[in-house]
Amino acid sequence: MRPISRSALRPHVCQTCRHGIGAGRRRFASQSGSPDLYDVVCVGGGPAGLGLMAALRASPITSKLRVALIETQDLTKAQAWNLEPTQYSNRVSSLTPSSVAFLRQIGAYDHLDVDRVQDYQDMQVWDGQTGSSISFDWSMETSPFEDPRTVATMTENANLVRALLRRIAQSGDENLSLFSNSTVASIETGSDLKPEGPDLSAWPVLSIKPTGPSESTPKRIAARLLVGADGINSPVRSFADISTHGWDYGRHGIVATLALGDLDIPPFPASKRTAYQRFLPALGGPIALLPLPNNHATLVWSTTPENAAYLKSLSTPSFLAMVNAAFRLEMTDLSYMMGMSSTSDISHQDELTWRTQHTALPSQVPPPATAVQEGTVASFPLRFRHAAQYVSPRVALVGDAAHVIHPLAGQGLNLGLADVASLSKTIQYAVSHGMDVGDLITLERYSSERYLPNAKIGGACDLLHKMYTVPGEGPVAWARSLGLGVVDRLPFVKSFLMKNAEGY
Amino acid sequence: MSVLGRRGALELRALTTNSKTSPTAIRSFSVLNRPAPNYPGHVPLTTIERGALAIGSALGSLVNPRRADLIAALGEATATPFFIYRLRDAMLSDPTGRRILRDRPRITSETLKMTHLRTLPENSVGRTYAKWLDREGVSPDTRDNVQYIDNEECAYVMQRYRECHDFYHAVTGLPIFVEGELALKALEFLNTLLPMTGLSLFAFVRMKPAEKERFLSLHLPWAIRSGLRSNELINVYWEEVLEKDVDELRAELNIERPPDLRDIRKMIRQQQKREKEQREQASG
Amino acid sequence: MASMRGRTLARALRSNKPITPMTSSFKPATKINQPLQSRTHTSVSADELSHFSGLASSWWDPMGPSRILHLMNPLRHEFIASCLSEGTTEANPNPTSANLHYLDIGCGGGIFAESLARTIPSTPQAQAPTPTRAASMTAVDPSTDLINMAREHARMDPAVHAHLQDGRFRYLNTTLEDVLESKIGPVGSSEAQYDVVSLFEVLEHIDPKTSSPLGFLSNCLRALKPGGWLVGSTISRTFPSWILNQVIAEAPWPIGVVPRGTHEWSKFVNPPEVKGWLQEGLMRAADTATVRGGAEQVKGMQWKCVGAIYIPGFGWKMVPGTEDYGNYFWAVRKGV
Repeated sequence: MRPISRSALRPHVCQTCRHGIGAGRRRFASQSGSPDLYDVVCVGGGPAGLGLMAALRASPITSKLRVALIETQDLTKAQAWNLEPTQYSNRVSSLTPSSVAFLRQIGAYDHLDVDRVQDYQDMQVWDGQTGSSISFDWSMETSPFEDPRTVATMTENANLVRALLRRIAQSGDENLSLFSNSTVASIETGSDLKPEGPDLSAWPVLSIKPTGPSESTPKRIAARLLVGADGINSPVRSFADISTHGWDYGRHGIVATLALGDLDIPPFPASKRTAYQRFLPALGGPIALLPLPNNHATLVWSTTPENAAYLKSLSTPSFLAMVNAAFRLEMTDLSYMMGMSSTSDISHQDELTWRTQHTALPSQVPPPATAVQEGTVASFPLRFRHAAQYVSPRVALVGDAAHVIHPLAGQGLNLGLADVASLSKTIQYAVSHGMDVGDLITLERYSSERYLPNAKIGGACDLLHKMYTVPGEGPVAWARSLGLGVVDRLPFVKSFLMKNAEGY
Repeated sequence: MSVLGRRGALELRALTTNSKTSPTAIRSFSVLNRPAPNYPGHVPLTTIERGALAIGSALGSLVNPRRADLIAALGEATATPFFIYRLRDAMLSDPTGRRILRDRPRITSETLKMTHLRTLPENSVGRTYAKWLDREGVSPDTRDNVQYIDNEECAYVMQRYRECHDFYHAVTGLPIFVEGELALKALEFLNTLLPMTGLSLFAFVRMKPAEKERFLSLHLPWAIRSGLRSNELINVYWEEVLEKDVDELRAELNIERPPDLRDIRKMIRQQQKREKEQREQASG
Repeated sequence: MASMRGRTLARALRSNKPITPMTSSFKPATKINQPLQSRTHTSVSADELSHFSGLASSWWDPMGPSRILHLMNPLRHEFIASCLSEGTTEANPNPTSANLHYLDIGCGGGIFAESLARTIPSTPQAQAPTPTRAASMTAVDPSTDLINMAREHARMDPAVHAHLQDGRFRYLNTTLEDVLESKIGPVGSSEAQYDVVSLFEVLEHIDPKTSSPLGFLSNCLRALKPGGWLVGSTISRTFPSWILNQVIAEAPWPIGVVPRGTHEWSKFVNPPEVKGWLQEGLMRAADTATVRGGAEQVKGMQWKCVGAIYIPGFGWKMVPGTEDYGNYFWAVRKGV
């Protein structure tokens, strides 16, 4: 065959076997020659990966480490991200106070555009089936003279990513390599560079290629510690041969950016903002409305794929009517409206108006959603995954690579940041005690600190999901109603729960 | 949806602090501070009053099954907390049911002109209804207004049930005397789950032995068969199906036509008469 | 508990024969045959050597029998840092300069030596990354197998490997006596004089009945510059320690954390014993051919002692006042 056709085939081949690591850790290096050595190599430039980089760069103990980050997306674009002040991205996360404390500690919070960030002090959670509710209101716990405590802080992921990138940029480029627009073509173990060189046979060696067709030879780097922040299908996890267990929930999360109307009763104090979540057992999951600045909010609605497809197919007024109905009407009405033909004479809005007259509204109903920001309605599948372990020699997994949980408590990103905080602390400890940061004895500090809390939170979200998707009345409905009712009535239990929720 | 489930949940509703959030919850009050009515004609009752009303009306209607007012009161007193909501939800789950709840039509001699009904084609629902009213000598205007159900929408559902009751008679052809009424109540009980319809079956004890036998062998099996199979009768927009063929409607609703009680009675009477005549001839 | 590197453990791992207490051990000034070198003075017995060597393959396995030592290692750094904060061999210590020379005696597979070598900056002029401020590390052990294994393992870290190449990190298959005799000093020095001499989990392997810890410690002090620190860790011989180390720690699974027969009760040493030997040792170390060291040698001495507790699931913790319960760190600073 002529050489020209071979080279024409190459990009295609590379797409399909790009990682080439399905069979687990490779034992032999295919290439000789000494790779570039790094102390920490992070695959994945999401909030977790960038958070780790920023944390390592921020600490005087670890700032001298030679670090690298590999990201397929364009990090320059991410750092230049900008939106109109009235526009909000639909990828929004809720940061717990401990996540915010971590971001402050590593100096990243100062780079966040705070005009695009919204704290909330109250959280209203109730069961659409039984009406039982729990209110997480810090303003009850604090005296009128101090500011009400924050339950969580809403921020767009893009804002957070930009802040982390700015923080990393601020630390200079000494000992730092950001491989933007790059993919990991392969991960292999290194070789023993006898007789003069070191023995790299236990070190992961990565081949990095720019995205898109390129003829340049991949750059090879060896990692003392390879961090997988590369998401649910983590190539790093496959390389380390770490298995993962879990399931798909058979649910989709619908997200959208909404503009809100005014509350009938203005909040007190005026700055107080509330997050709302109503469990809709008949529709397969909860709906949540989380505040953004300028009377905007982000919607997260977990429901069946059929309902998600239906909601996405609706016209904007109908979609808004469904969102408002989901916080107000009874399960019977919602189930009916979820199947209404779009060609019907009666619109979703008509149904909502009519049914609202005959439904006793709970006191915690959120302000009405009045507009959907164009192009923000999207959905994603909900899954549960937990890696069998977070570490193996010279490998650590953080964030979604280690665990994916149900988003009903908005804890996914927080768990990822908690991982990063713990791992960066572990690396600091290792460096200051002469430990090899890739050694298992080092990494087990991280894994023992994070495995159980993550399993606990993930399990709790899973349990909540399962309890609140049993439709109709029955022992499960009474139990959860009794549970929420008891929790709401016992201030000590509640305050304990609130403090726990704040912690992760 | 399980029958027991809703009751349990309602008890729990009272347990949780925010009973105000539940549209179906009723705040307790004493006779000294009776709240304002929720709709014209509404009489808010305490739980004790409601219980007393249920027992009193049950006993009264057993003594005198013709006391329609007592049966109505029994129906209202026993419809809450669960059953009337179930019936309303059955309506809310159905497009026609929802339209009925939205329009809230009333069936009276004003809204349904007998003169018009009599002009409808033979075997149409409207004509059958008119014929049944004529045969039984009853009027749609004799229905009492609902007064003891707290939720105004549920009160309407009860009213609607009550006003549609004669249509059920008409399409099944069951007469208003005790035997026919019981057969229809048995069907309604399985169809609507309203307790009063079930409780009415206690009137069985008042029937003559021959009627009992007939009821058990003919009409009860029919009621069970049709009641379990049929669609929710409450979701029939009677005002809109007046011109429909009654057989067609029965087929849509999955209801068989029961043996005609008046015909049976007539046959029996004729037979008795013939036997009597034969005896008289023989003796004469 | 941490003295798992004892030869009995090695034996326990290799055979299932019942373990009998060792009777012979360190014998300073005893002439024995060594596989590699012939020495006239050594504190190491042939028994010790063969048993330690048996441990070689599992030495660096983080889940292996040396796990508890790996876990203790960070505490050694912290203890040394706390000593150095009280003073060093320098008149005006600079906390950022890496200029302290270390000698690790009985380095074994190099758990401590390698970890300290990792803190040596890549260039001598660079800032010290840790408060231990290491400029060089000389690690000695008489076991050829262990030294070879330690060298092999050090090659697996390019940073440590670089130090091995440039000589700032050395593994020597030799004894303390030979270091003193042959005047093996830190890089660029012809005097066997170090800023910090470490002696981790060594003392409890000296049988006081048959050998002299005093002589051994005197030699250690001889290798120390004035103002330098001799640091070590060992296990005390007390009733609570017996309960913890013999009864609980060696209890059957799941209570016990170390294999049965790991510890040799009779060889444990108490802090006052160590302190006494060191006082005497300081005087002996000052002996010269003409002058004998006197009480003035002890005057400038600084003595530190702190207990360390291992809690399964939580790891090691330094807890002052628990010296009598088992493991403890001790340190002595030679008078300036």
